Amino acid sequence: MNYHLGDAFATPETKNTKRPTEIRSKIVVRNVQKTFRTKKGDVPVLENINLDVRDREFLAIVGPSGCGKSTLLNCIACFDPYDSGAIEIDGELIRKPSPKRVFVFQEPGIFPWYSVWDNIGFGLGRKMPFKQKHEIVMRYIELVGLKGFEKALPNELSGGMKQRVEFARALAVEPDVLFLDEPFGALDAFTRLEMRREIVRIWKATGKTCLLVTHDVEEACELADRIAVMTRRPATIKEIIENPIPRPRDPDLKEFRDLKDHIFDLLGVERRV
Amino acid sequence: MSFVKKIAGAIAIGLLVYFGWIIAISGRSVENADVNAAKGIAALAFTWVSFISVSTGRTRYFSYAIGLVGVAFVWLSFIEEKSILEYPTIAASAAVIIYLIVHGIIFEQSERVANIAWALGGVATFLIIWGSISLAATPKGVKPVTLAFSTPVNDSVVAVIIDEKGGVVTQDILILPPKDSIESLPKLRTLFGSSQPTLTAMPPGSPPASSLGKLFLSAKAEYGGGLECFEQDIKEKNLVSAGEAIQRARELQITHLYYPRSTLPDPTRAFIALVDLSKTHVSSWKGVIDSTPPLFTSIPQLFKTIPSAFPDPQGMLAPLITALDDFQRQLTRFNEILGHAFASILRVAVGFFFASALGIPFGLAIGSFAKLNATVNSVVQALRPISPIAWLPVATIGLGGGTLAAFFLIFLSSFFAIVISAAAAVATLDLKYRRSAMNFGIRRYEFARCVLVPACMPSILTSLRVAVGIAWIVIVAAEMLGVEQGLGYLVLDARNQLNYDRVVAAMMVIGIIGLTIDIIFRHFEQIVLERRGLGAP
Repeated sequence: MNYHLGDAFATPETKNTKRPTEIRSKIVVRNVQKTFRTKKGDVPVLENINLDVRDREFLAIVGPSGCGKSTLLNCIACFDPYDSGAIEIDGELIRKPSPKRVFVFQEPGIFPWYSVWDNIGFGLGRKMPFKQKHEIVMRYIELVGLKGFEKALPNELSGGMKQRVEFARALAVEPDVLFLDEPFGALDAFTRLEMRREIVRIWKATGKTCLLVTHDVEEACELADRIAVMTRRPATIKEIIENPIPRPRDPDLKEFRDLKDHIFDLLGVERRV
Repeated sequence: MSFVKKIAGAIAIGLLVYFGWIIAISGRSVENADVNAAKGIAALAFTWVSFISVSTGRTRYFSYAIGLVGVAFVWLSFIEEKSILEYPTIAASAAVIIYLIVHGIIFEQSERVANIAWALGGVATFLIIWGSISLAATPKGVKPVTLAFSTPVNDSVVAVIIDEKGGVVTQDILILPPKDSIESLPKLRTLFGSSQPTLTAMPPGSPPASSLGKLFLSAKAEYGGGLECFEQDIKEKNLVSAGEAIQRARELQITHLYYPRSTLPDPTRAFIALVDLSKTHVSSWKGVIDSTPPLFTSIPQLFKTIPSAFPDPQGMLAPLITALDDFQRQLTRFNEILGHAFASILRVAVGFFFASALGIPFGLAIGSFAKLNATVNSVVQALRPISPIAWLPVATIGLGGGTLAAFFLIFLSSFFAIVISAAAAVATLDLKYRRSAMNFGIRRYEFARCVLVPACMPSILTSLRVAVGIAWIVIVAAEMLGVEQGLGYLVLDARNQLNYDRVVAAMMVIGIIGLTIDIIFRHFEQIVLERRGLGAP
């Protein structure tokens, strides 16, 4: 019950075409701390997190499960409060969720009572004229390859298709930032592979800043420009690794395997079974 | 070939059940009725074991063997008892046989048809068990509720009603009508209340032509066949008024210890009573038609009286309620069971409509606003466990009993169930839906309309189905006071007449309507959910 709703739908900012060429920080996380207060005592989750995410960058956060990486993402998305520190986006302290920064959930958060069309159009608000809305919705339906499924209800779609609807809904409001919380976690291996290719394609085509949380090291290596490795609870960022491998990336390349090994070493995980 | 086998098997099993039933029936005339009923049920158990084995196609020879043991068992008992066939049982048995044959034919048919057949089999089995138990149990003698008059003194007489334990339910002094008029009848009616007496003790030597006799005859006309008159020869003439009447009633009660019939009502007798209840009296059709227009003409009157009579709903609604009661009375005269069922269904419909129209928004609001929840939660939770039946006296005094009180009780019975599950549905709303809505900057009203209501729909629909079930249970109790139509009234009235076949027939109608309501709501729920993409894919 204790939630606050954001502003009414605000028209997304028009793209600033004259961006400075130097790399500047889009999201800045400074000394963020968070402690869960339970009956058994306080459990520190996030300890002194510092993170800079560059504009139009694809950054992945990997860490062992339960380390607090989803909590960090929820804090950045303003779904969860944090105890101290600051999170700034575009140089402004953020306080509530906004359509400029859209969250993609692990289990599709699309509404089962709405058709694909209605779901994708959901974030566009009810005041937008139908013609304009239809145009936008159809564009994103095509982008995620769901043409012909406009009128389908989510329970008629496969898991991968639902995830695409979720992506399309997020993209339709033209956000600057996408938060991806293990978006492929619930998918089967084939669909996951396909969706990864898809997300890279969409990311390249639209130029969003993407912040991905995952426990899958290979996924992080395939998708991200940089990878932030988190430690066990209380979580801190151990190291941020640049991923120099050019796209499309092949997991069988030596560089790729070395990168993976390095991350596994950082996580302190023995990867051979 | 296998098809023929199946039919043959089905016929054999049908005969088995039939004779099991006959054996059970034979207990009617002998002392060891319960033993025979047990035999019938045992035969039934054998039947089902072999039947299920045959229909599933497994261990066929084993099941045939069990079937044969059952047949031998039943036949041995049959020869031993030398019983006679009795016609009412044939109907039930025939139903079982037909069911089995049909099921034998449709083994290979669609699952849906097969499920209907299994359901019919369940019903047939239930009827057989019911019949067997009703044979096994010997009813105890019932002391009827009794009305007695004292010897008239100065044109007035004391009327006393005693219950089956001999305690005085109520007593009053009635002024005897001078000649033809029966002024005391309304008072007698109040006196009767919900405890309509079955026996009436009149003072000795009071012929029907006397004022007291007239009063009694009018009461009898009003209350149907329940009243039976007995003239009591009082030994001690010096008893006066109330004491005299009480003693007269007690003596009568003991001498007429009532045995409704030698057995409890079995399915066949209940069906016969039901057929009797559904007799249509075409001549009364005119009354129904005549009483319809006031139903509509009283509605504008209702609005006219609102400003002046607003604080008094009873007075405001009086014309409409009167018209409605009259219509129901006429309908009952036209077709008894139709009138009673209509009255009950209407009461449930009105009460339930208001309960859901107010309960759903209220529940959603409680779930959405933490402060509102904190404010009203304890009151709601305290009011919820109070049975609507406990409200009966308060409803009677506040709303004057009758139809209005029944509406109110039905409202109470479903309102809290709906409120609480709507609130719980909001509380358990999936966090990701809430966060999605927050993320896209959806305002409160839009959130309620586009996310909250659709997401809570499944729980709300389920709660509506549960609530209407509760309402249908409560209606019987709600109709036991102050109304003259309705299935609850029918049960009570039939009991007061010691017509237990009718009681069971009314129970059957209540059950069947309850089942129908549940089926309708289930379908409604399914259709709505499917349309909203929340049903099974």
